[in-house]
Amino acid sequence: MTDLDPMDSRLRAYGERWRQAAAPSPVVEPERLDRGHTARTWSLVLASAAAIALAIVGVTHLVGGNPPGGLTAPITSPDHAVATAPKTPGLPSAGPTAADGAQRKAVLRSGVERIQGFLDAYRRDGIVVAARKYLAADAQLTSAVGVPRLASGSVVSAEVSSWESADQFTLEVGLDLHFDGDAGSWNEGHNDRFVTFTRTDGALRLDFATSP
Amino acid sequence: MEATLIGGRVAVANGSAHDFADWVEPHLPAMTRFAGRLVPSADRDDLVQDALVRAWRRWPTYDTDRGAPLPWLLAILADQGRRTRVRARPRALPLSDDGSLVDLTPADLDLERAISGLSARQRMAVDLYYFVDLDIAAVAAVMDCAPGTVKATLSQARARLRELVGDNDD
Repeated sequence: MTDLDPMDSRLRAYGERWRQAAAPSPVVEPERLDRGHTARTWSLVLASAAAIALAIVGVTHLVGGNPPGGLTAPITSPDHAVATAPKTPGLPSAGPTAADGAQRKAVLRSGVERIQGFLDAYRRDGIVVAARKYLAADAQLTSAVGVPRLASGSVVSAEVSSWESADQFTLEVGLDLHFDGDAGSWNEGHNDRFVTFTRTDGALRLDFATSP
Repeated sequence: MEATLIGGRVAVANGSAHDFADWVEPHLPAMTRFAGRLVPSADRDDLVQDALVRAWRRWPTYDTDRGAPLPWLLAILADQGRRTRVRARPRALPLSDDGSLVDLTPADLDLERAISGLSARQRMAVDLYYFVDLDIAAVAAVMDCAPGTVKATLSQARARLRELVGDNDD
């Protein structure tokens, strides 16, 4: 990247040695893909059903579509891989215990609210203020130069992607975003993102990453 | 394997597992290198296979308009790595069959320890650029930020590494 930075040269040299020393890549095993697919399909159905039911309630409330407690059909893009949402509430907990499932539901609700709060702050106050209030420490910005200006944004779908605890988890979310001018690396309209939540100083901090 | 137009975006419809294997194979070396930076060497191949299963499940939703598949695959790998990684991030050191370190100098070990002291985003940028050997544009696609942001992040990471390894590095 720069010929004048010794650390750059050192990293390049070490990176090359590291790659040369590493073992060869594994091969793709088509049979394992199908076995893994089957097993995960069932676990996703069981683990996601309650979470998605809750997300529907929470998201429709947040986007102002229906009063809390009412369920509507899921808001998903045609090619977004979210399991079909059930139309009735009260599905059994996806966790190993009822208490664990209840906690996950509450945390999922909180996570969706945090994302919507970030989008609202981004639109209203700009990205620097929104980042300071909602994003992880290493995602902070000192300037909005080059960052797209958000005109409107809402969370339209959410499911748990990974779960370590109520203080560390990742959601895969569908977002409907519209920008004033260039959208940059975002899509105008539907966006899928992984959002990792980490509790820091009592608050859930967000970290956005690319999502399939 | 068929590409169909859904909602104005091209989506890849379900192909066979062998179709997927052929599609992903060119990207396996980069995926493997990244996996080797995320988890201990002994767990590297398992992480790659788990990420492949997840990518295979999501394959019907892959949007070819987003560009090359590699950033999509690496993002899945990164997320899968978060599921399995221990809080104390292990040093991603290549090992020979007898478990000894391969071809690394003491200075390399110092640098590896310093890299583990970077923030998550700085570490990701360093891993993708210097170890997976992606260009700036590809790193930006994986990290979902502008190329200028990647350059700034790498610059900050190098400055931090200079502090961590001491001023007498080179």
